Amino acid sequence: MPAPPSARRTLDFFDAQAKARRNTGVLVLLFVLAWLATILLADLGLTFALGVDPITLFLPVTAVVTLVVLAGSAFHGVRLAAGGGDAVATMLGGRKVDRQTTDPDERRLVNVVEEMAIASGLPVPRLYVLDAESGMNAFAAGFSPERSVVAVTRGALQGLDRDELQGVVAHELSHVLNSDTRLNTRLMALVGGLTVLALVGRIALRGDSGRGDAKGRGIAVGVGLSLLVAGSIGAFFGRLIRLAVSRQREFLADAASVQFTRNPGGLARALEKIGKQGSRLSTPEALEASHLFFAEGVGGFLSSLMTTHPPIEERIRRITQGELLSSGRAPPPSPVPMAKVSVLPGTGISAVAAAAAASVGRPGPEHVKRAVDLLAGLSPTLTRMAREPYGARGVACALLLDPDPAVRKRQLGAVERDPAASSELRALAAEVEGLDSSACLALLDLALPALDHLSPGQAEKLSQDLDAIAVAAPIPSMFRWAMQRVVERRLAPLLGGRRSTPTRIWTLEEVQVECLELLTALAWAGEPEPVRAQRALQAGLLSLGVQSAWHLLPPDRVDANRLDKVLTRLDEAAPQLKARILSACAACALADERVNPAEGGIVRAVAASLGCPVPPLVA
Amino acid sequence: MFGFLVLLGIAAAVLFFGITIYNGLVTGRNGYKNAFSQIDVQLKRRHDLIPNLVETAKAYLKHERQTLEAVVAARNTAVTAERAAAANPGDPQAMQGLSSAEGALSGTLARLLVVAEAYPDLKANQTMAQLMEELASTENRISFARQAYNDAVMSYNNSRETFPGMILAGGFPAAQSFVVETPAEREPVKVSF
Repeated sequence: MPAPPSARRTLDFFDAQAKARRNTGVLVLLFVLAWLATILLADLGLTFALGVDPITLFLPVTAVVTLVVLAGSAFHGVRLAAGGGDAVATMLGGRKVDRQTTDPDERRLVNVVEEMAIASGLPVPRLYVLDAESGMNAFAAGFSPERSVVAVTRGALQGLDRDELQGVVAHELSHVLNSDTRLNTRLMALVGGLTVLALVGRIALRGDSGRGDAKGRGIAVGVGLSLLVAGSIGAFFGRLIRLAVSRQREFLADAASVQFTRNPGGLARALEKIGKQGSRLSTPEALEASHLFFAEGVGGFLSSLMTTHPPIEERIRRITQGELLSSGRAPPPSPVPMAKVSVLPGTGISAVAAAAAASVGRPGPEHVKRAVDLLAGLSPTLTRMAREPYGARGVACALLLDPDPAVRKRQLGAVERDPAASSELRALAAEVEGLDSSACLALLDLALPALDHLSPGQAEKLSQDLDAIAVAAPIPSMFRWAMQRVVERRLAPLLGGRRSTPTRIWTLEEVQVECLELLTALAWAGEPEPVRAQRALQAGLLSLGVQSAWHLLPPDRVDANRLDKVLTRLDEAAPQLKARILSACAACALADERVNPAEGGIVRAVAASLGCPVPPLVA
Repeated sequence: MFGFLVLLGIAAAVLFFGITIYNGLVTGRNGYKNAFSQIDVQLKRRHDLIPNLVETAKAYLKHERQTLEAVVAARNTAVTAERAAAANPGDPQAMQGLSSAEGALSGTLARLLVVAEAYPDLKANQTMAQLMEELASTENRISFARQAYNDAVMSYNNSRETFPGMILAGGFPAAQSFVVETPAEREPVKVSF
């Protein structure tokens, strides 16, 4: 089913998240139907096998089938969610790519992925290469943006040039942005549950041979056979549902990739090459994960019905046509209502602010260019250090150091434990010193994935060190508080915190106070002068959609401590509400058409705390 | 009927419990294997640095061939041990081999450094200084990564030896932590002139 044209240009992180949730609802309904059909089939089969009437059998059969399917889904679900994308990648024979690799092909891949991740504000995903696969393909998997992986086959790595690879990587990252990876993981779990029933049937069939009793054997065969057939048919329909969903998501990801790179040629050429040279995978596990891939990964039996991807020609046609459409008018009209609100004439709010507000979760080529520039501006020592756990820990500490030499000395004294680490930290501090705020944030983004490899003890120690550094500074800077907050958020799962927060807040009314406090902090961070600060607040409130007039709180009311609490509470908001809050923050920060370090940092910290990607603000 | 449903509920709970334990063990196993790959990267780096170091030192240490050869031999043993351990991280035998090979390498390197003290020309050499610096920083990284690995191994071993985990521990062999024994470090190095 082709996606409607309007949906093709819309790539909004929150919208997509909400949509993915709705889709999950529909899916659950379809799976319930598949499950009911499975029960009926098993019931009928067992009626024949046991010679009991179907009504008495119905309840026990329902119970057993439900139990098996639920347990199977739970098993697959927990396995996939616990291992995250890494579990899927390893299952398919992936090898983790060291981010410091010296292999030129892998190096190029690492660079492309880092650029795209920083441009989209996504955490840099972990990378895998499927060494054994010579077909050209790629996939993204994982339950949340923080735990996502991107994998490409050896064939794609060697056969595609940089532009083409960029198109493919952008396609995969947009799956992550659109929460497709989460949906896909759920689908894999549900289908896995249905296959377990067939597995039980197969075991019953195989296990019967030892028994002497002819009647008992007949029953066992009958039971096994009916479970096998019912389970297989259920799983078959489960797969069909999965495929139908997958085909739809591919067009969206293609469109997003083009919007992201604004280079339809790269993606189109990649598709063309893949169409010519094939994208088949050799590993037998590919079937279970076929819907994750960039292009068709399996073929053969019932191939037209079982395709996970639309035909390549159709995909190319849509991409190239999309380009003709978008080249006519330079900036595509913003589909987000809040952006429209903020460009109302006479409000004194610039189009820049509106564009920034609308760019939340929707990176464009200007962000890619900015990311490339930022990364190129960092010294090789720093990037090398940031990519491995030992150095990343030092980078995180160094970024929090105060520029004032006296304060810095005290801060270094506070974390001095072993001489080797502290001399390294001094060297890093010297390197970091000259960086501007956006370079600091880019460096931090580079360092975050490496921090995942710390052991809980090391994470605890780093967290204490960061606290010690922050405490040693007499006047805490908003920017450094924000960076500390970003790091703390990343370390939270290692320190035994929860990975995701359940939604408890649905309306703005519940968090009005928190929003006002947050926007006040942002307004004061941008403007020390009360009248202008109030204007910035107004811009934020307008974007938030607040009618009544709110007044700035005094500047000393909202300190770092208070902001920590505010952000923790806001994390419980529903995705759409988070989107409004983030857009309001962007609008507030950009009210004066320039972003100072504190503003940029706070927006980044808010984004990290709310668990959603924001491209670097470009004023 | 009611009894049947209760029984079913209990069965479901037990099953779910079992799944959770199993998954916990799998996560732990993946955790320490992943942590080992961090050490592996640094070990490889160290092994790559040593030939350069020896090459640079060779020009100055003409009369210390034995020391240099010992370093090269220890390095080659360590490379083999590292490959074996990388193929099967956590395996007690492979890890034991790696521990002693890395220990021996550290020992010979320490001896080389002591010997180099007596050659001011070598100490003044720019390349040599750079390589030494690089080697020292790699050592730091190795010990850092080793700490993360040992923590992961400990939490995995704990979960397979303590109560709910031990039921399923049969399919999960114990992992071996990585402790580098450096006999040369414990006893003072004798320097004879």
